[in-house]
Amino acid sequence: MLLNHIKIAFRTLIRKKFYSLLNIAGLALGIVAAVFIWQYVAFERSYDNFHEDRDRIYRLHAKFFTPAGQDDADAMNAAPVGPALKAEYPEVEEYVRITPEYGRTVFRYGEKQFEEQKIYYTDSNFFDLFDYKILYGDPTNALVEPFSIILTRSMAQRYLGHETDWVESPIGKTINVNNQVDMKITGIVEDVPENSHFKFNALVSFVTFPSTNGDPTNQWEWNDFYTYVQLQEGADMEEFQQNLDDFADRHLNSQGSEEYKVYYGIQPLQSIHLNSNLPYEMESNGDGKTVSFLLLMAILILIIAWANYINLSTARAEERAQEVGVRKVIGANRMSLINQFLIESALVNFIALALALFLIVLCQPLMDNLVGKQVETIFDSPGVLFLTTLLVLILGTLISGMYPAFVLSGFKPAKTLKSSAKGGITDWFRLGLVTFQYVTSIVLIISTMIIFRQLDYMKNMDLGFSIEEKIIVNAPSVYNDSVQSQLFDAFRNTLLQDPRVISVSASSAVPGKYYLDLDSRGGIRMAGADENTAASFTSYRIDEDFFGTYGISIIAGKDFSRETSADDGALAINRAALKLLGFTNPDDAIGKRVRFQSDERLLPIANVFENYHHKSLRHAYEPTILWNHLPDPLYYTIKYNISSTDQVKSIIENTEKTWTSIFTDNPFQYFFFDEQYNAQYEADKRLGKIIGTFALFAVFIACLGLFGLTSYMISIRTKEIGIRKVLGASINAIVMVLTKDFLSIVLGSIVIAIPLSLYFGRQWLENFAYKSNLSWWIFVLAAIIALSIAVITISIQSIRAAMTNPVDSLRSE
Amino acid sequence: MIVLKNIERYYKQGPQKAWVLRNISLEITEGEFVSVMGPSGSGKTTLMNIIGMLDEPNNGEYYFFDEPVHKFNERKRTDLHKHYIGFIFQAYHLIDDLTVYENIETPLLYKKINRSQRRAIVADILDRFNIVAKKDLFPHQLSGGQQQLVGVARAVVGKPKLLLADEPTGNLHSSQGKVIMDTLAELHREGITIIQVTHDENNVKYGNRVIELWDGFIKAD
Repeated sequence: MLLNHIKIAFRTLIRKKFYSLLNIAGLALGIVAAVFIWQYVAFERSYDNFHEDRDRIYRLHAKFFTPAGQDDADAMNAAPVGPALKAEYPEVEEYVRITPEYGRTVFRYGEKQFEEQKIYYTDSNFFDLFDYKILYGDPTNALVEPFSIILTRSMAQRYLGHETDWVESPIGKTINVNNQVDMKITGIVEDVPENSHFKFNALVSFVTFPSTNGDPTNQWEWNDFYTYVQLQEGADMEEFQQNLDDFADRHLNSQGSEEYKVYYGIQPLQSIHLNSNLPYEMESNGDGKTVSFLLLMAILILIIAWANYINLSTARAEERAQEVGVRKVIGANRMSLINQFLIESALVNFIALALALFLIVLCQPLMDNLVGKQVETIFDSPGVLFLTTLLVLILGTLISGMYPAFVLSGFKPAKTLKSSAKGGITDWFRLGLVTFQYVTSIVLIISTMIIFRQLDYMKNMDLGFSIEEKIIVNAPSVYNDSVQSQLFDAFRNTLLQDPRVISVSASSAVPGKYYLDLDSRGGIRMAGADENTAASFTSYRIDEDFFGTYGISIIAGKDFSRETSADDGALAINRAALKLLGFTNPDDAIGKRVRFQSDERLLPIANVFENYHHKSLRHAYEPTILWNHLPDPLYYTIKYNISSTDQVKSIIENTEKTWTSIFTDNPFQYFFFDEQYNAQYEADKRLGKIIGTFALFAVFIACLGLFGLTSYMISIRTKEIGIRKVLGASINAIVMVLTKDFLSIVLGSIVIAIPLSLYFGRQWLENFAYKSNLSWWIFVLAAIIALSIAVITISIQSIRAAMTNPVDSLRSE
Repeated sequence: MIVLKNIERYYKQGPQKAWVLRNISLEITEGEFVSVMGPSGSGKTTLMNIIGMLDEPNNGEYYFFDEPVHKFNERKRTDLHKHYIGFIFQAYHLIDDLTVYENIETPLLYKKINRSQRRAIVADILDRFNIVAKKDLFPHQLSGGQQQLVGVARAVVGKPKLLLADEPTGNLHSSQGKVIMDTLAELHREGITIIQVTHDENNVKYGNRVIELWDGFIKAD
């Protein structure tokens, strides 16, 4: 019986090539899209799942409160927090602190030297909590001694040559840091997996930290340390959160101000990547909402594909009705007919699935390129592959096959064997499916347009500074502090001899770059002002040429100048800071002193500058204080003015030449400022491309369905068309008759899709402090696109049908 | 074998009833060869469908081998029909995607007869109807007469007690029709009860009883 069913299914498939092809193509594309998106979603959700104790590991973060409420937060907190928690609460089994090396770091091994980033100090029990794979060395004591360093495999290979060429163990070799200290290699770890929220290139033992940065042991307000705790098995997260509040009150809030309070929050390790977006995150994290939206999209596209099958199969029901009737007459019961139709749908799904798997393998590189990561694919583990295909096959067969099977098997032979029932999109269920397909497609089209419009809006927004014609060079790390400024002066003056170079400026941060560069920022208030008024400000340090170089306009006071600069430096504040510090008139602030984090630092305000977008347009203007005091800059900005772009190369060459002659021991590393700044929108651009790509999939699949449906409707209305022509209908009139039904569906879909996309669009735009408005033309354009695609799909066939000679169509009856 | 008592069949057309069969009472005993005649729309096909258990009367009683069919649910009716009744149609109604062999085999599949038995039975029938050479052809490769022959073969492969033929020669040339009618006559001689709908006086001669329908009533029996 089963064999018989499969045989029949095959024959039906082959005899109806056109519909089979539409069905298979639609399903295959749907599966491809869904699997691609699902892989990406699964990958984003897999972050930190390789740590065995992940369910017990939490990250602590700091929350700052003023009487008005929470004022600020920080993914980092103070060094003594971890040890104190472990000492006071039995449920805290372990703690690990991680803190970045902020300065420039140049590693040297023999002849080879490179500037390195993502170097972190961490406690010796790091590997007790985190399961990064150690290749050489003993994880239990690799981070015990001072000046011990663990490198990742790639980093080690940069200095020691390719691993296969190593003749002796790398353990025990020394690497020189910034020409100042030697560190002993005590371990090599596998490169950090892509799905880790913490990505490092090297780990240095925590006990090394005090010798280079000062002792943090009792510094409760030095919030530069990521703290992770491992709780006992079965410990209650909420109870621990309450203990933390109590802990903060005892250690911090009782000693300091009554008004300005700090508390700690905890986040499960695995929730960090998708759900944490605090200031000073280690990496820019993903977005849980976006990932959920993508998952929804995957499911919807799959349903669109399945809906095609349902539509085409039930639309062709009359063709099968006779067969059903005959089978019933010769003894088939309903169950065996349902089985037969389900096997047909299983066969179609199976072929589509096979084709889809083939396409997935073929197109995986394109997908990797689209999402910008090499995600794990379903082919990476046989178990996942097996389960996924089985699931898609079973679900697909049941969902796409069930309804047609029930409809078809329900025909009464007494009716179907006599004359055929009238066809059309009269069936509400089918109507609903087509509408659903179109609504989803249009929502995706509009979403894509909203994203690209926002990107465009951000690109064209006045940022408050000029973004073009600048390169940024990473400041040197290997020098003697006392001569840094002289060397920089020499560097600047040499470059300025080139008439194309307009200005050169040093700073500790640049707009749009790595937020960890920003200085710590809480507890700032006007000198003499009440403690309660202390607040948080974005802050970094600049030299005298910074405002000129970036074209930031000063609205009160004077720009810093080398002639008048004081030893301790003066401050510049932006308009937002002006307000927060309690001034309304910019001129009133000039010369007033600010208590800049400690009583020893009461610094004068030298000028007020216009707000500019230091961070991406996701963020509103932040109150900002810039300090003209720069013993250790991180960036040198070079602004140039050229008549043609090919001169850029010679500017870079000149800069490098000057660099190597002045900062002898330092590698030359630079980037273009505009590229760096716009890189902040990389993730958004990517999202736009992903949704855009899959919107195309959705539209295409829906069109396949529409195409099939139209051609079927026309085939059963051939006689009607003939009669109408004989009665004198024009081709236009006939095309109208044929398209009318479908066009009203598309129009209805547009009406439903617009509010839905408005909702999703607004949700997404919530991420941005500066939103493009959702202009009406977006919706009109989307409607026009959807309508035109539908009209083209339908009319190709309608016109052909309308032009056939009625004699042919009427004779066949 | 068949007892119909006051069978009525109508369709609702708005508030009106469109009558198809009215007050049909008849009895058919095993071994009869009955011809049902009457003009178009007189209810012949509906009567056949009701006897064949493909349709249900609105009123009346139907006993098949003394079983009250009108009280059965669909499942039980299907079962009865599957085992006792074979159908032949004017338009043959072979399944396009199946070969001659498979078309004939299908009823046996539904009766869950095992493979080797099926093979034997179908081979037998093919032989008997002289269509062995055609067994791997598809319906569209056959002439109308050949198709109807396959239709008859399929109808009797399950060894039904009752054969219902709805204008079996309606689409055929007279010579082809004769072949079919001769086949039916032979089946009748072997003991199968046959009810045929026909317009053709020649076909009536093969039977031994004529029932004439007029506007849903029995006009003559």
